[in-house]
Amino acid sequence: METMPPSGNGSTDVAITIGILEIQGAFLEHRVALTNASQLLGNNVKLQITDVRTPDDIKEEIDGLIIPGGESTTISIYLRRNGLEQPLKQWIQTERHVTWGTCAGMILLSKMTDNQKIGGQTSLAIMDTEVSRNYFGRQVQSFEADIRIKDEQLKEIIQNDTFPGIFIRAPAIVKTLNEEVSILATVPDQISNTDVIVAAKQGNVISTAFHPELTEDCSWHLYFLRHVINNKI
Amino acid sequence: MTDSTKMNGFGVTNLVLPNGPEKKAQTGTFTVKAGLAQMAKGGIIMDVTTPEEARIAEEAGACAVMALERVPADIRRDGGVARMSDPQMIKEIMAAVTIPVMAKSRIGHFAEAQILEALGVDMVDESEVLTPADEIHHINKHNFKVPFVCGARDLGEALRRIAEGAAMIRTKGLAGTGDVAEAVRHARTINKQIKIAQALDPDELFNYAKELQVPIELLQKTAELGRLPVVNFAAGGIATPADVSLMMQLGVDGVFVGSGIFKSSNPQERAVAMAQAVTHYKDANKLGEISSNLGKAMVGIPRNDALADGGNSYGWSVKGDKSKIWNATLGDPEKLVKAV
Repeated sequence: METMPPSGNGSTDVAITIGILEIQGAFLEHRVALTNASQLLGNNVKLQITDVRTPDDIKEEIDGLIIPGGESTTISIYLRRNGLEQPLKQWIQTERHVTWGTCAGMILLSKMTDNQKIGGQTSLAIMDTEVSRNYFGRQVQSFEADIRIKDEQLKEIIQNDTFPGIFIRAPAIVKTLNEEVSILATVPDQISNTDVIVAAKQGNVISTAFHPELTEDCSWHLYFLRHVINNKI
Repeated sequence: MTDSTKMNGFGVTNLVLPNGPEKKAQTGTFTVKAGLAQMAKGGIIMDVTTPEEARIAEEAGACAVMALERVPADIRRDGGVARMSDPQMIKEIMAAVTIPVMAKSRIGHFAEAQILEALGVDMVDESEVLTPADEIHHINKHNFKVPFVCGARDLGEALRRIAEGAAMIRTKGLAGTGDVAEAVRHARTINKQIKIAQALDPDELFNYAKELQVPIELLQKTAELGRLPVVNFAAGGIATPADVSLMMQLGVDGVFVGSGIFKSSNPQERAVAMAQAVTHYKDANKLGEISSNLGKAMVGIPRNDALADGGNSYGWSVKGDKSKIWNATLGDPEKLVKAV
């Protein structure tokens, strides 16, 4: 188990720094969930959380980055206006860095997006996915449902095949455009009776359409932190 | 999966058993309703009256827009009864932008709220800016799938609205005046009362719940969290980036700007500056930059003038009746006076 962080009375200490893009959305919830998840990892993991609001905040020594949910339109406008787009893109593409986008974050990370605002919106264009904004509809169609976990490591962390998904005007991945993209979770679409992709991973980039930060269960944050630690040691 | 009936007496532990019964999609839960408000945090919500204004707000970086026929400054000036906006206008605004669209219903007017829900708006503001339709009761917001935001001037009002199902709270402030003083007062009052609740012994909280006229569970939750149990925005009289910063530093999660943008001399640039201010609220240098050369802010009516002819005059209030909204939220004022 070399790749796993030692738990309990292990000897190696790992210090990791996670940046949260604090422009707009549920960034405080992510902070709380990360802190809870790090406690489950044991004493020898030292977690530091830092906020990213300006290009100067995007530092090489940050190990992992969360792009929280909020409004993708709002966040993308902000990224461009404040010159964050390019530095962020560069940071994400650096091999050792792990990135996780939730909801709006999924849209920003995707190379292709349907249902954009008039005039289009900018995106970080990292993942080979085609994402549909507001796939499930407007707020009155927002829902809670169990998602089906497809990834073995996640199943082991969650200790279950399902996870309570919270979908707020959520997007979905309608197509993966590259074999490198692995599907982490799906949700059954009530209308078409098909499985819709709601979480995926490509290299060191993870995206989820739902909001694990709004649940008490911090398994997804644990999964993210483990990736960060594995990349670091 | 429909076999949730096959629970075996160990039903509770099914939560951690692999392949437990899968939960089917449920819409309109409180988590989902409060979740929309959580996604708006650190954002600015702008009042707009036309699709064009909505586009300006979206381009400026608003995280949602409030669709209404007249901004509060005009309601205040025109007087008369202020009602829900024309559904056609709301639809046009919904079609124009991708960000969430909110709309206002009158206090207690659940039929207006039902129409707004059917239209598919993303959030309903049960707003004191419109003429109250029910002077005693607010809407039972648990009956709706659409989330609600409600105004509050103190912790009591805030928690009562949450008890009725509000998924988000905003300060009432004094809409349409451009004077931030009331919003400051309301934010500070709520903060102070939360601190009092935290300082009290668990035994004393029961009496404080009685004083505030709120459910004890919500007060306990508030004291435990050290903040309101739902997202809390500032609203009512916010006109400049500095006002935004002031309110954010007082601990609110985001801001509503009503008349402040489209009643100013340069709406486009002001909208951008206000949106920038919500994220950079702690950075005075940046605020100085974005506040420069914005042109004239909306013409303000100082709070004392706005209140001079009685009550929370939004144009609709009866002269001399200083307790109009108070009546609607606290029940019989007579009893209150006696209790004190």
